[in-house]
Amino acid sequence: MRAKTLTVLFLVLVFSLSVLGLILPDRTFSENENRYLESFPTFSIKSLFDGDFTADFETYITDQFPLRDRWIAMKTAVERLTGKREAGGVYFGSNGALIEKFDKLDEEQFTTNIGYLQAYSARLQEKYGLTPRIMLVPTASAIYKDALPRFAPEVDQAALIQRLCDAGLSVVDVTNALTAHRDEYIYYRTDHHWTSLGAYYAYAAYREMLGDSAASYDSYTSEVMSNEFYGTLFSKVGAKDILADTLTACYPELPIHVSYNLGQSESDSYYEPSYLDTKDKYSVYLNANQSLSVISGGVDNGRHLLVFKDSYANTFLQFAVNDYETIHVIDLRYFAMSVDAYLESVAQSGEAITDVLVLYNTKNFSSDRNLFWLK
Amino acid sequence: MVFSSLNFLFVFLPIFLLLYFAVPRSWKNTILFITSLIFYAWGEPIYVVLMLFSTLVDYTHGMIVEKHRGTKKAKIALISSVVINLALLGVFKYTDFILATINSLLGTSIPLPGLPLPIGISFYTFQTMSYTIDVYRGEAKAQKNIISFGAYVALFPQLIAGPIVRYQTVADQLNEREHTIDRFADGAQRFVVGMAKKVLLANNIGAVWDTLSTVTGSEQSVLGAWLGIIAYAFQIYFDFSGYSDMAIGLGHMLGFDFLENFNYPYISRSITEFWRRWHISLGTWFKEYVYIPLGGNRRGIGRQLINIGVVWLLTGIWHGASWNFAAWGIYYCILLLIEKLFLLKVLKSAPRWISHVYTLIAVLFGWVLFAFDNFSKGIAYFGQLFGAGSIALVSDTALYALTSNLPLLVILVIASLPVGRNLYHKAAAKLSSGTLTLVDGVLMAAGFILCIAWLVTSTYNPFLYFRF
Repeated sequence: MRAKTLTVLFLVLVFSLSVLGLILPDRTFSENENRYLESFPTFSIKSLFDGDFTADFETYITDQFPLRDRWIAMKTAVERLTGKREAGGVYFGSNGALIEKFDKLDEEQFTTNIGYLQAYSARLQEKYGLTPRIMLVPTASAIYKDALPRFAPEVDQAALIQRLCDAGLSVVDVTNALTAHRDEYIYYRTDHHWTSLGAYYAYAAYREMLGDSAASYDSYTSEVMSNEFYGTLFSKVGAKDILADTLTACYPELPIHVSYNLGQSESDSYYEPSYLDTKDKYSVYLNANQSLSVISGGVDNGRHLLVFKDSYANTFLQFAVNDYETIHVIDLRYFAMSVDAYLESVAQSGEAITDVLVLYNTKNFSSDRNLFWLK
Repeated sequence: MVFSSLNFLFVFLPIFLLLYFAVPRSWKNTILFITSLIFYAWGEPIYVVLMLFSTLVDYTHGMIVEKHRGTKKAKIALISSVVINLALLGVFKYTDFILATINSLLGTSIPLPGLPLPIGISFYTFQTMSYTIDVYRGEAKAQKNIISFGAYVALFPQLIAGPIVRYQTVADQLNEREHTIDRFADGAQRFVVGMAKKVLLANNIGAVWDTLSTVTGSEQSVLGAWLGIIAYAFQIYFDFSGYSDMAIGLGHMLGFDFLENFNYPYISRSITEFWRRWHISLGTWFKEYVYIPLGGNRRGIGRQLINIGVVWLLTGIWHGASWNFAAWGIYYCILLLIEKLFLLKVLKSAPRWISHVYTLIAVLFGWVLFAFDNFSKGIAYFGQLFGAGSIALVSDTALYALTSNLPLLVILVIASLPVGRNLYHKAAAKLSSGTLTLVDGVLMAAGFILCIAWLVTSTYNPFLYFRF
């Protein structure tokens, strides 16, 4: 009785999933993981003998395993039951949000990047009399320390920002502003970015530093673009029980025009709504990350902003578009021209840059290898 | 291929089971041989030739030994077989190690060929050697059927990570074995237990070791170092014994009885006892084929000490082609000799907890030697256990690793003790057969299903914002 039951059980477990795997059609793309899944590897004598075929076959079997997403969710759920408060490099915050881990600092890269900023500041000062403002945005783990698991060994982001000040850079402090509004919806629950509201508070701090004031958040025409946003952190943990996020647009006050990559594409909107139908919804802001975006606004005040940035700027600039005639947005990760030559060509067009802003989140900044291009 | 992969569980295993149980008895070894070759060639499409060569060598040598039993020719054939096997092992496992040692001693710069290590070569060369030796000693008959002999060498359940099955233990079963539903059920149960040990316990605690062994700067702490090496001790035990369980279980399903390879080593009260409980098949192999042939303890205490030294140096080196493994072997040799001289008596009369603590600490220090093939790193880690470099007593990294893995650690401790097994046996004696079946079934299904969840997640690799 016992032997028969166990034997049948074992065979059912093995054979049912094998057969199910054979029957179910292969998936090509995983929405949740935002990547193409391995398809059946092409066989050749060469790929067999150098081991590629078997290695690819194993990935294929695992990628195409029946009910893949459910197994992954099951693992995360069981781990949480056994006291784990993180999965896939993401903490389950006690505030109900997912919080990205930032526990390893690339000290060498961070120091190098400060050096690049110092050198670039000096050059801008000398050539154009400009002082670039540096805005390092703390990620959620710095603002919600109390929501992290106890003893979670996180990098001290405030100390990182302080080191930029100590290096003589002109730093826009946004930590205080974000901390002051930490009870509001300033970071996404399922994504590693900040919300439009979070970016607004940083924008207000930036205006204050420049000696100006910001319009109140309520004065912007805002609209919910999606309330079914499941971001990167959601994918990383593979859990299912986190509330979806809301993407809000805060429309520019005047009509604007955006030219991407020197006229490669043009738009009259800050937003690219086609992304709302995809997984990658945050890309709705400023059309994901383009190497060069030039935003020309209706405002006529003779001010022109140059921004070096990562994706955190994409929500931030919604507000800044109202203050500048043009904003040149450069993403150094994709920008292939010489930064100096570009600046020179802008100067010669008669609309010389009047302000420079460097905007990164601390985690990205400390590991990014592309600030090299400012050298 | 490894057992703890979806590929093995849901492609290889079902096809194999269908073939193996569909064919008549006289064909089973052929199926076993062919599928084992595929199993091996899956990971080693080229080196499978090496294994076939080793098989052929020992098959012919075994025949020669038997034909010329008692004559000089038999002895020559035996020596030839041992030399060829050791040469295979030497060339493919130790070339770089030997050359690098020569280079560093003589200041030469002989280039290292960097041959990749053929999977399982340390296991199957030892098995094939045991065959010829067993035949020479008359402890087993030569295997006339090359398919059956091939099936023994390539036998996929124990091919990659043991246990080292000596020929004499399975000689009869190679020719004649029973396939019953009872054996299949017990084997399947054992297989799932082993898989759970490997996938759910070893892999998870291994991640803790990976974190703690690489922390630097202010994150380092005494607590972290101890927790790290304890995690490593759990990882290596559950990984290795889990693999042995899977091998023994699969063997059982196919009608083989392999000998046990682990017997709760961490409950030992001395190092002597520890080595009777840890990797038993390797210890037996060295005792049977090295220690005793060298004269064992029969040629005076001086010779015995040398024999013990040789065995432990070889045991160390067998684990890996690096000096730290040799040091690890010598370390145990010294401890065993000290125990033999006087410590064993002291430990026997000492309170139990003292002998347990002594053994565990000695084993943990051993794992530090074992874990780092770079001596200076090993020594640095050893220093951290005692706060060298004025590192902190505790750090957030260590406390976080401890608190977030506390339930896992409790499970690991319990699973290292025989309490679970004893409880199961007690319950089994009391429960009705129906209830016991239910308990067994639920445990098997739960273990199996959880393992799948963990295995599927191994390639869970979200590719996020490809342009960030």
